[in-house]
Amino acid sequence: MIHIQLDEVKRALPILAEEIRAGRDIIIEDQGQTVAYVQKTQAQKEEHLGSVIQRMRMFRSEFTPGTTAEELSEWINDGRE
Amino acid sequence: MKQGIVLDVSVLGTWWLQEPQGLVYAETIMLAIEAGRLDVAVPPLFFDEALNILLKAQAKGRLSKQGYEVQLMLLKDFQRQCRLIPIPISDALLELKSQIAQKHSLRSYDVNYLYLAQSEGLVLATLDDRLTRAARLEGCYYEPL
Repeated sequence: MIHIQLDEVKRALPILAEEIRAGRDIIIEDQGQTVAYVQKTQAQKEEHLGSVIQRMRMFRSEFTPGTTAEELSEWINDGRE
Repeated sequence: MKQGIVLDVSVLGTWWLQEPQGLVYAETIMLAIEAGRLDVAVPPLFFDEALNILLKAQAKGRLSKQGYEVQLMLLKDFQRQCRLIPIPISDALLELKSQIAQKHSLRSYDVNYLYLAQSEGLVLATLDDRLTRAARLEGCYYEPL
């Protein structure tokens, strides 16, 4: 079981990714409150698309903003037009 | 009862990148999925296109290597949890897709999204201009309440 503070998540991403792959539990806390709980085996049993989107939202800040709609369209269709 | 939608990758891409044009639409849909109000169906093509967004984002320096790894892992989870609908291959279907593409001036691969919505009796959530126009004309465009 790994406890990590919310503001440490970004710095620890490579380690967390390995821990999640290894199936270990991770609890993310902020100001003494549990804000997210990741456990691969439990997740496989209980997860649904809504919880996947919730986790995607947590890590969405990894993307640097500034992409335009035109760029996005090119990225989606890259190599096929 | 949950509403069923076909999700076009343009919605996920806009939401990921927080691209202002269309972000309200994308955010509304993602919140509805989070709340369990929408059932999401996609064609297999969706994941090739989503992967392309991640690859390009990393190549353009908009996503770190570590960020890419995390997003790829989450995309795998998405793949496991959504309704993935394979599209069969047949002469008749190829003919039908040809007609749909010509009728709406759609790219051949984008036809898959419209075809899926129509064949499954679902509505299509998209931010692609041509797909939006086509789905509106066919009466299967997803309008959030």
